[in-house]
Amino acid sequence: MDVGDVFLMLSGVSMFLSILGFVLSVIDPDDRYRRVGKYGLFLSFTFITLASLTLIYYLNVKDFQVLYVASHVDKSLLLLYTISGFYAGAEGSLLLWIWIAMFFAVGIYLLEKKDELNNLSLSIYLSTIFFLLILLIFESSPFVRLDFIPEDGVGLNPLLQDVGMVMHPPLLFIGYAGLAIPFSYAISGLLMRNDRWVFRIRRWLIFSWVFLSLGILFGGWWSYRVLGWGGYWAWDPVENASLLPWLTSTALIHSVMIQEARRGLKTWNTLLSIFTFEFVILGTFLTRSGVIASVHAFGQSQIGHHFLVFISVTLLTSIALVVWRYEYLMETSIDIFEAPFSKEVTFVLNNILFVVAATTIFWGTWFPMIHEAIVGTKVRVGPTYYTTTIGPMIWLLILLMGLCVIIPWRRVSPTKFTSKLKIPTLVSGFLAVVFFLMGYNKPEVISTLFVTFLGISTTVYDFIKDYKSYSVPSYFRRFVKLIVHKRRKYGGYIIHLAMLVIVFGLIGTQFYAKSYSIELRQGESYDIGDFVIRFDGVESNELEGKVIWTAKVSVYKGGKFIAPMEPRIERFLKFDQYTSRVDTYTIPEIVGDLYIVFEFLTDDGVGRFKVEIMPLVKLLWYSGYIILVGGILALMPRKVVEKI
Amino acid sequence: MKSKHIAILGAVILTMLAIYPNPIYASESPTLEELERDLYCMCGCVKILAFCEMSKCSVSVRMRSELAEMIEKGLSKEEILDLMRKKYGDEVIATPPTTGFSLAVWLYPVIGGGIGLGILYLLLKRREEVVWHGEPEELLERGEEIFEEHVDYEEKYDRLFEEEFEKFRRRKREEGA
Repeated sequence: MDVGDVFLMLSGVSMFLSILGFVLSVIDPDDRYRRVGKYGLFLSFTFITLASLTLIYYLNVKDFQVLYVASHVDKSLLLLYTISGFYAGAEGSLLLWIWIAMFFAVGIYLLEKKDELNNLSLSIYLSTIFFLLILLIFESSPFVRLDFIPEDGVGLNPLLQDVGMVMHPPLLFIGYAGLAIPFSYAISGLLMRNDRWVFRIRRWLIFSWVFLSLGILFGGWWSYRVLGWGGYWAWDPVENASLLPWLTSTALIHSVMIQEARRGLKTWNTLLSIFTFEFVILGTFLTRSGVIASVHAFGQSQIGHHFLVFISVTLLTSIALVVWRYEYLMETSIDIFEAPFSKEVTFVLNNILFVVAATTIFWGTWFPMIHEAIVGTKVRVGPTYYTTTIGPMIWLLILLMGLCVIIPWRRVSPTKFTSKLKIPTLVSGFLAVVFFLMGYNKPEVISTLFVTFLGISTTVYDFIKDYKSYSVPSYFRRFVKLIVHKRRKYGGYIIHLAMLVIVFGLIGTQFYAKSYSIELRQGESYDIGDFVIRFDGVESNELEGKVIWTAKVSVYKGGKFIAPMEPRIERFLKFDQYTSRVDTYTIPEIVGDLYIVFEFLTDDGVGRFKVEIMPLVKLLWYSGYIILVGGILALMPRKVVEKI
Repeated sequence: MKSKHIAILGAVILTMLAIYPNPIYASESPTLEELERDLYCMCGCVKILAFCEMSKCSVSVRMRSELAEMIEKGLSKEEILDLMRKKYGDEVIATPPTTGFSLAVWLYPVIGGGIGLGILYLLLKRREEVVWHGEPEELLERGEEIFEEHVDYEEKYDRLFEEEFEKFRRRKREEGA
């Protein structure tokens, strides 16, 4: 047995003791049990950290006797990618997930109130991690040793050798691991008939949501730069699976506010917490079971089916618990609306849209299997289905985003509502007309632009109103004080802004991207809008383990040379795999890219290129920074705020 | 006044949604780009034709040239998709048809949205027992404290009820004696 396995076992034993300690501390509030829970938690965290560091060490020293190391790295691999080999396979990624989840568990213990609700929530959270750990130890250990020592490892899949893929999995796992926290609190809230769980989940929910969003964005950025098809989202089943918990957790972020303010929507919030968690596990099941064909899957493995059992058990138990506690949920559930024109109504509408969008994607993803089972023939559900069904929902969500800002909590009279809407509508209408006159006249574009401008203008309108009400003489200090003191509101507004920036990015890339497939001989040029592309030839190099063909391309604008571009084709000899390395040139005036893929070179020296002009694509990536700023603001601790 | 505003808002939303493009409509003169999004590449890459990279796939090259030929012949989108289905099987089509069992996948968002709006309507009708603890911004600072107050409030009334009930039982016992 490897030392890594020993650490995993010790972590499992101490985790079990910790779960037991926390559960007993709820039954008998003796501090001894809580202490058992606490020491078990810290020990388990220490051992899982040691196990993770052991794997990193094996990867770093290229200990090829370890099957996982031999399967995912080789001698020539750069240090950065060697370390990212940690989560290149199903076993390592499961270990990473557990490690991250243990950071969360320690965080909950240290930061939250040490009461019974917390102890029970921790025991439930640790139980979900315990399941993963048991799987890791008995079915999917990354520390399995071979009987011999291979000369070299297989190496890392060429497509994963990119900084986007270094960042994407850990960010996603932070999001996934964190979204089990609302589930754990909701279940313990139900068991203990304690509604205070909604206050406890806030920071964990927002933190996880921010990281899940960044993880999804990094995935899109990687896809755009590495896969070479000119896009960032393909509506692949695994991509869809990451979007499901994102949609339901976004709904939950909004609906918990109603429960906080009114004690209503209790059953709804409990169900949202449960389904968000189940969608996380479903995504894991999809990538590991091979049940649905996907470009992102790890391949068929045995552990996938354990996840199916886990989903069934947790879902059925949770639903049974909701039914068991139905009387309590209904008894203490309070009506939530005072008037039809209120923020509460816009929040419920956005929840309906988020949940319908999530279930539409879920239904579309599983529909081919269901169709085959019932009808006997196969159908496929591709991007057109999703853009047709989800597109209008996005449009309505943007509209709601604008409206909810100016509708206050509790109630507003229709007359006051329309008078508040007047200026933002006029501004947005004016801007939409300007864009229409500038040539952006597709109906769907102009209507989307209108609601997007409405979202921005209502937010600015509300900010100005708040700003005027603050009586701090220094303009800058007033600004800082306002957004920090109302950090929950403005953190949310900044994240709304990030979503609107994404909408601009989507408009640019979905409606105004131009794609050209061109064939050029050496020295030939091609006109692409304002640009001229000249193919100057191909340079081939043989590096360790791969052959690279670099196309030398010159870009001219207005007859003036502006940039050399070097899209490449790389052949990884060990995998006999070809990958395109896209090259992009930033065009500042369209906040976008000139994007070139070198597709192939014919025997008679003709180079085939896919060239795209992607307006506003940069906005998609910039939105990540805005999400981060909004998240930091929303999560700013009270102690920091008091100093400002 | 109220219903007039709601009607105007509803009409604006419906008009704007109506002008949203519907890609499933059959197009008389389809472009290659449009067709590439409605067909899967049959090389086994699990990607639609538009997303299959050429340097790695000869099947996508062949399929694209077949499509280009059909477009040049002036065939409609429906005819082209039909010919591709005959050649490669049902699995080549990326968008489910709006007939038969596949209609279920298209109807779901409408049904789901309808159910959601029905629930919203019922919630709007039920506005009797409404409490208000404060705006979320305010609750961020002292949320649980306010909540404790509420819980205490409930406990207080439970206690009062039990005391009254006990008094009632005692009185009944005394009356019986």
